[in-house]
Amino acid sequence: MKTTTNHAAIIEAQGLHKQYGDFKALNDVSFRILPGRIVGLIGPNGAGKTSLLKGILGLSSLDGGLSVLGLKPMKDRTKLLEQVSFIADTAILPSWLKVHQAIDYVAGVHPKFNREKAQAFLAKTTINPKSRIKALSKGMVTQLHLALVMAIDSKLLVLDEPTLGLDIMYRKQFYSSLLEDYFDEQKTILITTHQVEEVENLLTDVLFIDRGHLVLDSSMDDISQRFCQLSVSTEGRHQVLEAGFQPIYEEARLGGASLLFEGVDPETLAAFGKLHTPSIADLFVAKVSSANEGRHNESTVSNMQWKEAGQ
Amino acid sequence: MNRYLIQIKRELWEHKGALITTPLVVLTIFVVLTILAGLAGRDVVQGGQFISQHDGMMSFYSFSSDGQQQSFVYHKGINGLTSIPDMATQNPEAMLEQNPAMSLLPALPYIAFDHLAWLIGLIYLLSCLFTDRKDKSILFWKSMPVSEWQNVLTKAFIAAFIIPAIAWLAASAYNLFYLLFMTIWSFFSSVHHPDLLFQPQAVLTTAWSFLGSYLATSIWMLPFIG
Repeated sequence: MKTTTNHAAIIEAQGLHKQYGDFKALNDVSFRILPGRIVGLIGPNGAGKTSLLKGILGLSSLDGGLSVLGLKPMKDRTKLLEQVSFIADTAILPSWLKVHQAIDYVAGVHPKFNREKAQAFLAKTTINPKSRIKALSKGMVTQLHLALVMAIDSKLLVLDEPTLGLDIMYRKQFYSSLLEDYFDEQKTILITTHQVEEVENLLTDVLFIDRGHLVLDSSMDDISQRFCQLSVSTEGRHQVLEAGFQPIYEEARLGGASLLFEGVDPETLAAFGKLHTPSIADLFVAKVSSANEGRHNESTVSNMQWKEAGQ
Repeated sequence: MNRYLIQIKRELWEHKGALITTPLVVLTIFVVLTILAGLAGRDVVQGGQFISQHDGMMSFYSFSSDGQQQSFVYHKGINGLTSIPDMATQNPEAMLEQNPAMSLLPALPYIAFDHLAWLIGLIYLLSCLFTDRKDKSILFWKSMPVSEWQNVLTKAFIAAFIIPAIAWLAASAYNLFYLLFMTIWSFFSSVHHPDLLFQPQAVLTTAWSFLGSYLATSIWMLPFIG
């Protein structure tokens, strides 16, 4: 088996494409994910996130070069899944299964599963090992799934909307367990979620994807260097624009505006108003809408097709 | 080995109702009906033949091809039954030769359970594809390092071997029960002739010969697996 050193990428994607009929779900997507990172894959519905994740997990084929832990996902799926875990959505554990059977099953088929670890984690919850999954609440099912996955010593954990539909207590618990009891430098986590605010402090990197295009691939450290958000009064806004600074996105705020800049030295902007690092949510909206404008100009036709596709 | 075993266990957990409970319930019903029939001395329908028991006699009716009913009166027992007048003189083998239908008696449970196995197998094969999809749990199974081949082979193994094996065990269990029941029954009745009842080779031979036909069921099952 090929061993991955710390410098080898966990996921290496080169020019990925995925097409459903006329609809391009993924269009020339390239990125690398290094070990020990927590990467947020962020995009609106229908952006291509699921297509990408399915490709990474070997559940569907993608055109282009894709290597996960040095393996081809479609070809070596079984081998890959010994080192990759995933939680695809909340509450997808089979409803007829009992909790202790779920543990027995994973212990039976997964060579890297640690039964004691799973049981220790479950002992901290109120889940009864004799219960059937259908008798558990949605939050408990997620706790169980997390307990199973955290007890697997895998190199890559893929989470697809893991906390969808959970209340705030469970969501907080989910991510704190993940950080405290699971994550270390040997592991890599790839998360997709709509609740960006909740994972913001967790992530080391972000990938923004929109309509099949990768619109941003950056580490969180780089984001604070590359982007800044300026809160200004209406008057201040005019001054900024007159001075020739072009925000990539602006948003009206009470009595003024919030301007988002890319690649502008924060020092030169500091005089106009209050500066801060944009939140992931703001940055996402900015990148996606500016990318859309660009694409709208270059090709109206593709946008029309998008609308026809019902997205 | 454990990897394969747990896959089979998983199927048994999921389809416990069809694979285990159903044969058990049917077996229980057969047993209860037999006991009731024995106690009440009423007619009991078994397979295509009728056996009625009155006062320690067992009559066995079979129907000839022209629709005429033929009736024999036999001493109770499950195999090698003999008609009362000849009881002392005839040996069971000769009786069987005279009335070949008698040899069907221990076979009936096997035939019944074989049909049940067919039905269960068919329902199992159709359902195991759909429930996973219905509740999206297919994604959970797919997150485990188990190849598609292994999944399909497990399901095929269940349909072709486990289901017939369970049915065969149930039928054998019924026959053992019947033997025991008739022994006790004959003991308390006016006529007893334990040497006719205890022809263990008949029970075992039937069990053995039906192993073969259950294997045939397995092979018949194969086209449905795809």
